Amino acid sequence: MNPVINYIAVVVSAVAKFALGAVWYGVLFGQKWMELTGMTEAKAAEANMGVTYGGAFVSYALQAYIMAHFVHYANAQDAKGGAQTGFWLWLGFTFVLLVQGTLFEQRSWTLLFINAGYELVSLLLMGIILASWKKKSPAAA
Amino acid sequence: MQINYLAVLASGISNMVIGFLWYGPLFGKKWMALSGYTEEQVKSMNPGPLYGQSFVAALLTYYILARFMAGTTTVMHGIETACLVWLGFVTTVQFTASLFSTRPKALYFLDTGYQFASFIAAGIIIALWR
Repeated sequence: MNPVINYIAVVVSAVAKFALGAVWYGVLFGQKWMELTGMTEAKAAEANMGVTYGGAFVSYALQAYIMAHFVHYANAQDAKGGAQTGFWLWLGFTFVLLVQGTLFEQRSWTLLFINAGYELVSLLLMGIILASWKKKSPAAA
Repeated sequence: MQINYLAVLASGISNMVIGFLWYGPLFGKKWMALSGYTEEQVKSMNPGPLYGQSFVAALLTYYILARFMAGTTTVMHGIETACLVWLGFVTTVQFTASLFSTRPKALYFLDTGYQFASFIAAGIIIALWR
């Protein structure tokens, strides 16, 4: 019952999420995000960027690896099925988590929109990559 | 697809009960120290709508968890699916949020521990009560 994992698709999914993050939190909403979180260039410079970005990439790769399992459980065979799996995972787990955090920490709803939007687009993207890029099964060869 | 809505509701309730314990007697003091909230600030929050909205959001989580657990028949399998969801879509998101913020890392462990306990409880409830 264990799914055949296409590790190349997992790595490509993680790279896609990472690249989307650079665009999302850079060009698109970087200014707004810094304003809302109170993060400044100076504070950001104090952190070890290698650890921050390396940690983020490892975390994205883990997410993609687990998502490959859910794409298999959901029996998603094409881009549409993969996007649907991504949507349900986002709605049920990531979105709710972020909404509850916003409620209890009384944080800005605009910030929720930025963060949840990033997670939605990236989970759709990863679902599409993982579901449509299947390893050729040995039986079919 | 057969969904036991009572099991979904029970999971939502268990999530609230664990939350009251976790952020109350267990780690309430620690959470306030780490997040910078004071007793006054916490008291000034309006708990009714806050818990109500959070409860409704939690029901959505457990409904979707129950859908993903449609073929689950054993408690071990339920725990496994709940663990995978937590690992893939909850703790990874909390972890990266923590990486890109200046908040104390201990807060990440405290918050994600609560999520872990809640997901395990829901995985057991939904697997057992079919």
